[in-house]
Amino acid sequence: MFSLHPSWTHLLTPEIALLCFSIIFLVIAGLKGDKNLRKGSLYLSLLCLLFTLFFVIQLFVSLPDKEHISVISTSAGNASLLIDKYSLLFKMLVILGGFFSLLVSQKELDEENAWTGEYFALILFSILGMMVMASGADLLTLWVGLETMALSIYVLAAYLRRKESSVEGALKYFILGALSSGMYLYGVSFIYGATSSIHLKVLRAQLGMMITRGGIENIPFPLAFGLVLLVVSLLFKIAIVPFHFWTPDAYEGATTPVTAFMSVAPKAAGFAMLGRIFFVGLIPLYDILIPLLMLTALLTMVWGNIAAMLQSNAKRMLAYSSIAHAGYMLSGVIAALKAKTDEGITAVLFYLFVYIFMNVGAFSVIIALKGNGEEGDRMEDFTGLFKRKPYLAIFMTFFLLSLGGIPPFAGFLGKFFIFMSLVHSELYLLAAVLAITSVISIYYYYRIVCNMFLKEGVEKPQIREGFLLKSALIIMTVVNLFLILFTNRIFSIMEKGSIF
Amino acid sequence: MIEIYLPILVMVLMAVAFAFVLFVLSYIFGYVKKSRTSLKPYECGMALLDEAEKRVSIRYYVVLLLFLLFDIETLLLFPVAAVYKEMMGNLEYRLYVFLELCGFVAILMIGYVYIYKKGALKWE
Repeated sequence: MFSLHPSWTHLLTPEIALLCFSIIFLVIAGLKGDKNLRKGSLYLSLLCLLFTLFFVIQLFVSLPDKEHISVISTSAGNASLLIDKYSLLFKMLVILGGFFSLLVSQKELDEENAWTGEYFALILFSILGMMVMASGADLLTLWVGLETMALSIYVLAAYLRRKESSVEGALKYFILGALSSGMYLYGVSFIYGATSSIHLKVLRAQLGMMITRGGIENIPFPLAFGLVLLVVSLLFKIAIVPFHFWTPDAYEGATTPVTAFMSVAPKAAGFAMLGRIFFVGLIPLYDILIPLLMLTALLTMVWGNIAAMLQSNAKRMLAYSSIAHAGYMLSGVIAALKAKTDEGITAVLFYLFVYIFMNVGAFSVIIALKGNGEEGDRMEDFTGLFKRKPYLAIFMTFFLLSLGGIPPFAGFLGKFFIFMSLVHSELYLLAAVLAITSVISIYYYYRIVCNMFLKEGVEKPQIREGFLLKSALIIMTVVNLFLILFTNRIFSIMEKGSIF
Repeated sequence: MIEIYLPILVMVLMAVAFAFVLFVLSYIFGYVKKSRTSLKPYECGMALLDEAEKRVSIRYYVVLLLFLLFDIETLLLFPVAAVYKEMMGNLEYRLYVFLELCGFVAILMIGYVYIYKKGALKWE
């Protein structure tokens, strides 16, 4: 039997509200509607996300620090769905990512003439899945969230179904994603067979007992096998290097706002799930996990940055750079695993927050460039942008410098906190590689800057952004520029997302 | 215990051997007369209407997919049915469990309305 928290309706308000909203959007999508209805639903979906964000913030404010409330748990007291500040912070990040991706999608939908109601319903459904991923505390609840997210995103990746590259990327994503989900479930079945529980807490207790009794060798083979599959499928979802092959194709093929969404929100949710599984379930295994993750993080940072240098398509380049950024964030997770403090987690949360603004910003400039039959995502499309539209070029420079981690911009702070957490937990190798690869990354970010300012472009028609895209660009530029003034406040909020 | 099934095994082996022997015999002694009719799928049945290697419209696949989908959704109700009685005994969650089921079916219903409105079930 299970038991519910007495005020579960209050604790799950954001999820329930978002579920109702997305069902409403599904019904609207079923209606025969003209373009105006679809445009109206864009504004409505933005409003819905703001409402949900408001509910989450309200819960966040009312919840005491370091408190874990289990909303649904077994009668033995093992939680299946947890509400704590860690999950609420990740929910905020996911909603913010979705909000900004929707904010920049008007122009793209206009250009592709692809206004459908399902677009909004799918984005809201995937955000719902991500929120469950942030809150889940047993392996199957996490999986349900993961699949709700993933299924919606497969469809979103193939949103331009008449475009070959879109369908190709989505199919690759779907097949590899289904494989990794299968691996996750297969691994969970082994873990369940060995520990007869799917709850992370029980897993932690059993692993701890086995290790104190006889060391790592005492873990039975089936359990070890299940754990390996579990970790691999988690690394797949956040596109860490040996498992990153779907990323460039899926990112390039998908329509740009969806790419922006895919690069921030599922990444945040993936890190939420990874953090929960590692720090609640697998923490007794830190001895083996740290070298394993270190290797993948090193590979990710190095290969992501080197491969990004070779790209001629801006979206592909940003896809590889997002792989590299996942590597930086994974280093933060490793720092937290090693030091067993929240510092690394705080750094990751801060990084994800900053990453939303700089990455969606860079993608929204690509959206602005699209038009008149041009995709706007090739490197040459940026040539002479400073002459055509000075402020777009300047905004793009800000975003790229921020992504590269140049001081006054927000991205620097993100990297700085991860660097500090690595130094504090004495992971000097990772810290050094992080610093060196950031320098390498500046090379390819500067290629775009160089194209925009130094090269003469051919005459091209005017760029029109539209109100929503313009306001999104301004918000993201302001955040990137002035976040440094509010570092303390935001950092102290992120510090509340403690998992230990 | 297992020996009592031995006659059945012998019987099966004999049947297989008999069929095989007949097949080999007809292969050795029989003769094949090649003609147009003998190459047809039904040598002595009705005349063929059309070829088999033809592209067929598969618009039925949407209906098939939807059937599969709803079939699986129904399947999800079975585990609940297995513990329903026990859950109803728990006075605290009685209403919750019932409403949860209603909600599940209602969401399915909305999905059905959506596909109906989209015309996925329309058969020209």
